[in-house]
Amino acid sequence: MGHERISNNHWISGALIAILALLIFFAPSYGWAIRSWLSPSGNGPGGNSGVSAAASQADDQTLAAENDALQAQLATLQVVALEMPTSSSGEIRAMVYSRYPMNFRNELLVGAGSNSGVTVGAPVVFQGMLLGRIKAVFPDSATVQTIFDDSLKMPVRIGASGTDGLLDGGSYPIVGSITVGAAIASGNIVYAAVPNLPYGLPIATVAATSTSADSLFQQATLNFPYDVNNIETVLILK
Amino acid sequence: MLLLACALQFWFASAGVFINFILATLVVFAFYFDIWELLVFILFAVLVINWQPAMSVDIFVFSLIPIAAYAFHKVFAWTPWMAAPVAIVCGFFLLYLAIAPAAFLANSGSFLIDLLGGLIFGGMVFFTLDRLQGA
Repeated sequence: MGHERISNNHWISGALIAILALLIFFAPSYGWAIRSWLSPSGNGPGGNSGVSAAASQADDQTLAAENDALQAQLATLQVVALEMPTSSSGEIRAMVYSRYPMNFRNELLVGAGSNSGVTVGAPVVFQGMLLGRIKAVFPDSATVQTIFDDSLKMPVRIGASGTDGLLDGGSYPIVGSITVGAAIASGNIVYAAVPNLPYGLPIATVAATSTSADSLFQQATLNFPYDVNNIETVLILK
Repeated sequence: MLLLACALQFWFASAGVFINFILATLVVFAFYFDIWELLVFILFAVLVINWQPAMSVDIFVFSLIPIAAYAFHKVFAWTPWMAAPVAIVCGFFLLYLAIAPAAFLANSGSFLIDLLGGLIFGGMVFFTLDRLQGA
């Protein structure tokens, strides 16, 4: 009897292993959905609790009227939206599907791939700021190495004087290798100066400057106008 | 418990704090479940944390560590309350050394935070399973 139960358990485990293996290799989007559901920014339980609590207390008639008005607005906007390009011809808008789950890299998976014309090395921007570059491309998705990745190094220029520096990625990116005496100040814009990227893509602003540990160069800490953990959509430049 | 570990890991990650609650949970599971059940949990964790369509080396290494903990448990047969924390510490070291040895040496502070969080959560999982098994 006990032996039979153990055998049944093994059959169940075996079936689950097979199902999970199939999902991992052929339908990973189910995993991203579970992950989205478990993440604070996802649509999991509690995500809309404030809204639903408020809705349950609201007057039904008011809600119905608002609903009608919103439906009318939606219909109007849908007509307009049909006539508008979702993005310009030189860029692809993509949703962020998931993020690298550990602290060894800073990478995003975005929902546009080779089928949409995404290529390795393409710049990825968020709100007009350079966020990173495409690292790997799949048919319908691509991974982005962000400037918050430890292994990223990128030549940049700073401010109106165009002072050269080297962006060193990481949780707190810094610009190093800045010539001592170069006129840089807090608030100066830092922009990309990399082959194969559009020249002058803004990256961040200088937060503060200091002298490097070996006293040979200046270095600058940076301010970013966004939180990389909260990014939901990006633009991939062609 | 694995779902809780996943939720905690993603919640902390969204705040920029990376603690491998999932790995710590799987390593403790290696001391309480047979290999087939452990494989189910590992594959579920891989499904949830794999961030791209292709299987990466990082995720492969991650999935091997609980299996190594299971083998360690079977071969050495230490008492679980002593072996589980040792396995968590060794597992975290192996993960860092295998995936990002340079980052590990340069950024030992984040490793220690990760390890401490993993040990605390692993301890909670361990005592919960221990109580459930004793009941």
